[in-house]
Amino acid sequence: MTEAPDRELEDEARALLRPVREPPPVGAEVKARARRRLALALPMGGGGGGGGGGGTPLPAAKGLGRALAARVPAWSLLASFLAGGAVVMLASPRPTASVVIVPAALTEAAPPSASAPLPIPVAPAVIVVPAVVPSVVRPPTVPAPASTAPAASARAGSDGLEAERSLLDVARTALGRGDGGNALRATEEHGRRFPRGILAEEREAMSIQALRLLHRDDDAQARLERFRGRFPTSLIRPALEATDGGTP
Amino acid sequence: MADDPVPTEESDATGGRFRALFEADFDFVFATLRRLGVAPRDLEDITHEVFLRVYAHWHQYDPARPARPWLFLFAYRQASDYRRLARHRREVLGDPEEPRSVAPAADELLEGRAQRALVDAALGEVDLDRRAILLLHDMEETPMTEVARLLEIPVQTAYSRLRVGRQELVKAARRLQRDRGEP
Repeated sequence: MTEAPDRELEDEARALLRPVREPPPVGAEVKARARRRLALALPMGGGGGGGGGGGTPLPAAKGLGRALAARVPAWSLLASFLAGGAVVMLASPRPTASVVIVPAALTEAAPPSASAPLPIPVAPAVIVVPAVVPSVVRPPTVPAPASTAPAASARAGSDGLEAERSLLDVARTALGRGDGGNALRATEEHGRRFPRGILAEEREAMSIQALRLLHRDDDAQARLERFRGRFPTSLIRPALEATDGGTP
Repeated sequence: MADDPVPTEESDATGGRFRALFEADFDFVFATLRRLGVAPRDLEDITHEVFLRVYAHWHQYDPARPARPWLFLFAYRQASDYRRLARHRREVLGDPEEPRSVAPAADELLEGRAQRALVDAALGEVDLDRRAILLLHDMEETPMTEVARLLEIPVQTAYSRLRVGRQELVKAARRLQRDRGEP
């Protein structure tokens, strides 16, 4: 092909593509759903960090992220994402404290394609450690695919799940204040009472974070390996590996 | 350790950056995946996977460079993995809200959606590797050296694929226009 036809071809191709360069806006509901899923998949519930900071310049982000990955738990990094997402989604000031319950969609029984109803994740602006079982953010009224809704509602209705949640809430708030010891005790208690519980995936992930807080890196690494084997399609895994320096 | 404060300043900045990227470029990732052949029914899931991977590789993010080519790379890889599954090989491009139709509706013409549908359909006939270069270079205006760097191929290979991709795109678009009775 000669140079002139090449130029004509280029012009014609660009004339086709450039007018449609800007992506059509995705529906607000779809984006909100994506925000919720992401917020649930990346952090381990409401934890440290805090909201805001979105407009803060990051002079040397390249490299800083790696340094952060070695120092800061994923739930901490993503706390501000949670908060910001919630602010955008709710268009209201950030609530003071709440707890996110990891839904069945994040367990090994539910593959990534499942879109079960998700709770609205809201992170505290400042770490707040509730003295009692904190309030729970109920799932929004987002319609879910028929294939996943019955299973999710059945799980949500079980008493065992409530008990599991309560135990893991203790672990989550302990993680939120950087208390690896109490977090680990709570997850171990969960493991004893619910070795094959619905929230086993979340328990294992929180155990790994607790071990890291306690600087028991070898134990954390071994547990992460077991986590990979047991939950190979886990959506939580990338966040765990991000803090581990691993590659997804 | 229990009393050690969590280093919130840096984590806030990183989380804020990630959040800002998500808010600014969610639509871009969504549209890119669609242009790379992800079926409408799977777009939400695959977009989710892309952002998970973006987060996992956040340490590689360089704010000195445009974000979209970097995001495109994640979308491209995810779409490639997706398409390796036999059940996804059949291209499904076009407006996810509407069934594909050879003849665009009147409102599509008015809103310019016919052009988008035409381009999506034509892109669907371009090989994925060449399509990626077309989108990065001719649509996103990413320099070819950067395209080659991102895709880890020689620059000359990138140019060669670009030329063939343009031929495939233009040929498909002309045929689709003829089918639609357009001049």
